[in-house]
Amino acid sequence: MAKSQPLPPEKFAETVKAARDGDADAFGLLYSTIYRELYYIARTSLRSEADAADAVSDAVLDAFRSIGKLRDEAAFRAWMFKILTAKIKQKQREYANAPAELDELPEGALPSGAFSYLSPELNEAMGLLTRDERLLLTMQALGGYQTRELAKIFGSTDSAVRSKLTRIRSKLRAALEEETGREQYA
Amino acid sequence: MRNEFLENENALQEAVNAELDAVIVPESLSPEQMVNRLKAEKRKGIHLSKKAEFRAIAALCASLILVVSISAAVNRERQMPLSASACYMDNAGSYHTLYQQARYLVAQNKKTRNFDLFSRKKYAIEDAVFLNGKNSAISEMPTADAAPRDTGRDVSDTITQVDGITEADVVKCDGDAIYYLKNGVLTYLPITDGKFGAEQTISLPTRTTNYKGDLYLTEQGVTVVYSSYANAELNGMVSVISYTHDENGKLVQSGTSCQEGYLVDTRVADGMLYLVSSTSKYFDRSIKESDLHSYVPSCGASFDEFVEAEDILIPEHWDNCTNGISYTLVSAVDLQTAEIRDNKALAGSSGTIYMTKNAMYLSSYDGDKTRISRISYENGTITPVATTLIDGSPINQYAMHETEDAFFVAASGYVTLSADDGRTAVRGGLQNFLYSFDLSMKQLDRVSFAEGEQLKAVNYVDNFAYVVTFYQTDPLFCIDFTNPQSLKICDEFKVSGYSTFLYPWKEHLFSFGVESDNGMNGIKLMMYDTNENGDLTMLDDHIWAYGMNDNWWWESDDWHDDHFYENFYESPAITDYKSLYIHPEKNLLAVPLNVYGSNAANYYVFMRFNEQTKQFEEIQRVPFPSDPNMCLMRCLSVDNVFYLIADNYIQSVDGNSFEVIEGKTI
Repeated sequence: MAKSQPLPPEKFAETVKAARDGDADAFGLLYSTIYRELYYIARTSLRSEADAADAVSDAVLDAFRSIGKLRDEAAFRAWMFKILTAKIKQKQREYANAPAELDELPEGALPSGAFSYLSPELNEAMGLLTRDERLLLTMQALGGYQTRELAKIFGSTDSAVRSKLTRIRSKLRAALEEETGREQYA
Repeated sequence: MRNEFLENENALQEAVNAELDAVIVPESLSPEQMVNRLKAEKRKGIHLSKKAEFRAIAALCASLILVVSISAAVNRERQMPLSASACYMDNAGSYHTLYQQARYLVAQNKKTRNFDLFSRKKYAIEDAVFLNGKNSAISEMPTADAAPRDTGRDVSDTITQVDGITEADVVKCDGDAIYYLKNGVLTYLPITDGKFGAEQTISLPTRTTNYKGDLYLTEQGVTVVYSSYANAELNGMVSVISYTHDENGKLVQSGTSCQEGYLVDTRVADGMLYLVSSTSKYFDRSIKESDLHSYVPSCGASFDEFVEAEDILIPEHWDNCTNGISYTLVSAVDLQTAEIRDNKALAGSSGTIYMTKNAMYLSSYDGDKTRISRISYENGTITPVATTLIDGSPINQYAMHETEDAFFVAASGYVTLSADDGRTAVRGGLQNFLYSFDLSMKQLDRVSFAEGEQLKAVNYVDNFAYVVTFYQTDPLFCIDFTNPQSLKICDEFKVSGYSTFLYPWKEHLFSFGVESDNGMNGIKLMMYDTNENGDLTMLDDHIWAYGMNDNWWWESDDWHDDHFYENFYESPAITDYKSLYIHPEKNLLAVPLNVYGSNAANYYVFMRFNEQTKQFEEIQRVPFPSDPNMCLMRCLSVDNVFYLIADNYIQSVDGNSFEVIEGKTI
């Protein structure tokens, strides 16, 4: 399946304005431009498809309620992801409080239902990162985000996001070098 | 790991976008369906910007009470084919038999192109034949005197489902000390009238970062049950270790045993610990007969002891298997000495367990269906008795209930239906059922209700089953099971949000759960009145509500997630009901609350229910030191002192003034 299709900029701003006036079709049109990405982000961060669908659905309802607060039409996409990340964190807090399946797993193991990347290499790389690092890197890799937008989504500053992305890449590099070293001595 | 993600900036982006192209988005999230949902929500008044209007609508919806006529609500099922069967099993006879079967599976798998290590076929107990019933029972087995030591104090205990059946917890108290298990460390903390003594900590022998553990008090100390992963090649191990006090009052290890698998659950009845674990064995060509670990489950004083062949109950037919077998191990363990008295390995992996004074019920997933097995444990002898298959699965132990002559289970799940052509199986929608069985697990009746909704909470009080489902609103169904052969839905009560825990409160029914309606979210307590006809009346609800913060602006500098909502409430009791303190006799309730946002704090909130005004009343909020990551765990009482326990802090509170007596980092 293809990625969600973007709208031309002039139509985008016009559609956001209509959505602000309570036009559900207009909001649906905006949603259609990003729903695959929204679900993908939720699915990579949560334990199950059902939880991911709930998070996206809740985020959309909250966004529709509060779109009147969105003054900058161009920020719609980042704003939606901001609301989604709040929903994801809420669900993750529920996981943390649960007497959980995670407790039954050996260190490093993933709970049943956890997202698995199709590419083994990508799976391996992402497996080296924490949940938040994985989310940030995935958002960046989805493309089209300025550092400022990521900063807004993650509740941080531009410079903090930049340095965090640098640290993530350093972490991956260190893990790679360690692995390469092991292979050489194997 | 390939280094292209580091050397080529675009490689990671390309990989993620390739994954995105392949992702299958659920139909419910399609733009068309979402627009329909937004329009429906808009008709209900969702697109209002003023918080006050949200609240007005929420209040209106919350007060909507629908009592639906029974005839309209009940979709009486045609009598289903009876699936009960006596639980006949075939014991393995010898390890050699097991080995031969494993080799057979390996040979079968060689014929399969797509060898999938994780495709499991779970066996049904009824697929097997019990030949000679070893009944290894221990006729001379001493009766364990493992009741907790009586300190003469009024001590609150872990919330239990069935009188006389003790349930485990990570915190236990005998009145003189608190025993606390966390991250593989057992802490023994003496207490005297709210003052803490010198603690003793014991690191469990096999300490792992992630583990699950439970405690039981005994006459002479405490017994710990925990899962660990001592060896990555093994399937995990459940250890039982008993500790007793020496002459100086220190805890010392007095007994140990172990069994393979991950810990499913435990119960204690008549001083005997019943331990259930699940494990799987997968076979490949390297399997050797001498390596018992590869095909025989371990159980005994050490990991190198195994379940005896005659106690391994295997399927009669192996043809349906792929490349492995899952076992549920059930053991009777002397709680005082940790010595295993009897055990059985049953084919199939286990989920929820329910235990009464007569029997243990094991539920295990079997595709879209669930197998419920009744197991006798009389005198510590574990004997499978009967089994049946049901549609859906019970959400937790409270979904099951046994009376003198019947067994009931509420289940929720997707049901496979026959298509119009009568031949094709299609996946149906989400359905909920209440089943009744006789004690040989012969089905007596089944009613379905709330199609498309999700089962959230169940409890059985007197002759009524109270069942909560959720999708948009929270229907609380009351089902009369006075006649198990004819289940009747008496009432359907609609309120916003849903309950996660139901508990009898004198002549009322207490509900703990979540408020969710038109943008208002929160933690909700409810009290229902019930009568002999099963009619429900809501007496009061108490909501710690939060909504979207009208002052939170996307364009502002306040990016903090927690400020997106105003006073965002969470409670660990939503997922862990044992963190509630429920004491109807004392008319006391304590609820753990985490508050995020501008007024961030962690509290145990003490409540009472005023029988005159029929309203909840907040008595006192007892705060913990500020720590946004603090997880509130338990509230205990000893005489007139409360002990409030978080994952890293404990404090004692006077039961009259609710003033903190002492606090301590743990």
